[in-house]
Amino acid sequence: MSAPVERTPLGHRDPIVVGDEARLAEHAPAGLLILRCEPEAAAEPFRLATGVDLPRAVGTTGIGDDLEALWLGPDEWVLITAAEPTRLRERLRAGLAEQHYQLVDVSDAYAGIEIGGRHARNLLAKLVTIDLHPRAFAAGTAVATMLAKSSIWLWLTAEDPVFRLFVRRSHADHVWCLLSDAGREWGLPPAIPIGRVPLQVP
Amino acid sequence: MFRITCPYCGPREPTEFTNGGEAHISRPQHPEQLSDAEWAEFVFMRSNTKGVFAERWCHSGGCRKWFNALRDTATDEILAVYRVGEDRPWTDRA
Ligand SMILES: [Zn+2]
Repeated sequence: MSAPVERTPLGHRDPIVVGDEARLAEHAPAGLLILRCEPEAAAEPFRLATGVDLPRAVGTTGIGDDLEALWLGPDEWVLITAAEPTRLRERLRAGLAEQHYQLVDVSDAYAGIEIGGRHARNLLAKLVTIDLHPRAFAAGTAVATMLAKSSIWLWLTAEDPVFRLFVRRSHADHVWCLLSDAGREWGLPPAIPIGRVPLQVP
Repeated sequence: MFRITCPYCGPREPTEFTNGGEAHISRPQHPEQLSDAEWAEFVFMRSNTKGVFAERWCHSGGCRKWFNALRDTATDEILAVYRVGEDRPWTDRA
């Protein structure tokens, strides 16, 4: 029997860099956890367990040492960590033991893509319908929305700009190709999907 | 542009939403005691309003929460959105 091979969802895609115009790379954090709970009761135990304030409104994020919490809904968050998530999971289980909550490890279910360069906002604006103008979408903003027909989480981590996008693993190559195609006016190459079915850019 | 305002996320494209039909229809407490006609009334019969209509929507492409909206079925204008459990607001149109 051969040994299991560890692959990231977009391991077959090399990063694309076009000077400072636009760049695309896989960004695969080690841990993604979905937390669902009643924030009225759970915010304080969550803060004690993680040092992070649970974000409470659309678009907001809570940032800690190696933990980022993105608001997905009034009782749902995704927790992102660069470290292997076992210890965070245990810490939350201990801290939230008295709460009514649900914690699910979805680390292997999602793919992450980082989009940067000075045209990143315009590139994404071709594919999402939310307002990405800096006055509406400043650094630190994150939303759950749609990119073409895929559900995504979109997070602006830095004003440079650097966006991080998370999508279901099975949509990853499709979304990668849509992004690359949307960037062709700034020199990104046409991308051929894994299945070699030509793209229909909306 | 046609927009729907999610009570949790704010205005978004209609493609992010799923319609759930007429709102404020309670499931019978004891379905096993209903006649076929009464069960059919609950399952199939709707008010088919022309004008202001309370209906359910789900922000399926965003926060995935269900909420209610008042929509004028003749003009597609959305007059109010409100959370599940909140009372139906009344407008000057009905
Ligand atoms: Zn919403």
